[in-house]
Amino acid sequence: MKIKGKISKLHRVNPNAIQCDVAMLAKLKDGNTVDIPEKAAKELLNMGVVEQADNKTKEKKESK
Amino acid sequence: MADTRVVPISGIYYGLKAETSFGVGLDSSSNDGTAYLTQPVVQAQKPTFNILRESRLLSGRGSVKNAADTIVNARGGTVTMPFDMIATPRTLAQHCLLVGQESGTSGSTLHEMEIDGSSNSDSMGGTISSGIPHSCNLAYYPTAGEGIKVAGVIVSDLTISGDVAANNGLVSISGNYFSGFSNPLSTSTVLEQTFDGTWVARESTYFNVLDADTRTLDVEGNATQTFIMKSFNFNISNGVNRVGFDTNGNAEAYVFPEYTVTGDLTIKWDDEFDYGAANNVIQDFLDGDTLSLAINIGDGTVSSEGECNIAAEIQYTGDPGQDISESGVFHSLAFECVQNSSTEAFKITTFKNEAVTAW
Repeated sequence: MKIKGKISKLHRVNPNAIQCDVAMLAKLKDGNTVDIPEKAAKELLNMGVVEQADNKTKEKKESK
Repeated sequence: MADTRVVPISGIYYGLKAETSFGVGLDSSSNDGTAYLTQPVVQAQKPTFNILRESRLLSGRGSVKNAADTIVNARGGTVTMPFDMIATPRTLAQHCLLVGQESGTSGSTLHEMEIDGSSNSDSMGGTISSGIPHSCNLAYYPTAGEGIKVAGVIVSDLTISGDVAANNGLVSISGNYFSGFSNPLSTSTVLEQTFDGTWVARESTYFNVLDADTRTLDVEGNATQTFIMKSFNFNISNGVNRVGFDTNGNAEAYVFPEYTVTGDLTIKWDDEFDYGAANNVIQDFLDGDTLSLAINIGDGTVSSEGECNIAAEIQYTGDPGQDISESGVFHSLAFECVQNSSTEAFKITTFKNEAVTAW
């Protein structure tokens, strides 16, 4: 599940208590979008420290 | 041979779970399967039963009390228990509700409790609707068969405090639980209880005063001056009394005669808060000014865990004192909160993505 970090919110999250690895958490802290397992994403969404990103995959146009 | 069993204090824990009927156990079986909310205390204190025990030396007994002359009555008493913990989003919101008996929620995420003289319950004991009024079953659990369940639990007094030099700035809450259900029976307060439900884990997000983006206070002629804070605390009390007795001698209702909020704030002496014209904290005391105080932990939006807004209308209750240290002189401002026209005496808004009914 893709989520986007909210800057100035994630520093309150205890990295030892959530199911998100350190590298992903660092990216989220910078406001980036990451794709992490749904359970971990929902936990962070519930805490209000991330927002759901666009999970749609862009369809490639078929070449004629 | 003596028994070698040892009970480490860390082996004892307690939890809360909101009641759906006042003073009634959520699960009255011998193995209570309720999913209690584990409270993040370092040391769980034991509930204290405050009941009548009359020990008398009756006439004609000579010079020592006789065993038969003692009177014990568990009816009509109270049960109290102190608590002290670093605040988490759920514990702060729930304990504010337990002492203030008022809740405003936006969706299920923003929890607002205000003391305003009209919104707070004057009494409780009737129907509980969607967790309001709010009372809990309290489960104190050392081990199987030795648990204590206290019904009809609310908070009689709550202190919310933050200090940049204590707990690394983490906000803490402390106070006392209160119950008017002192007479144990199977469907209410129970001794020798086993709790075998799956308890809800403690939270891991906290509030830090070092995260307070907004710290403002009116002073004399200037509104919303920004202060540099050392510490604050708010003491909220509802003066609860138990009233009446049911067939088991337990409370029929609780009455809240007066909600009081007092506190103190320690802020730096600087150009915004001094003894000079227009910024004089002493003059505010002498004039009896009512001042708006705001402490917003977070960016003020209260949109994630660990954020809260506190707003209060305060009057100084004493001459501003001085807190002197190597950091310079700070003002030590003791105050009480007062309703100021339509502005609440005290209001706290927190974020927790749970409905009150989930507590």
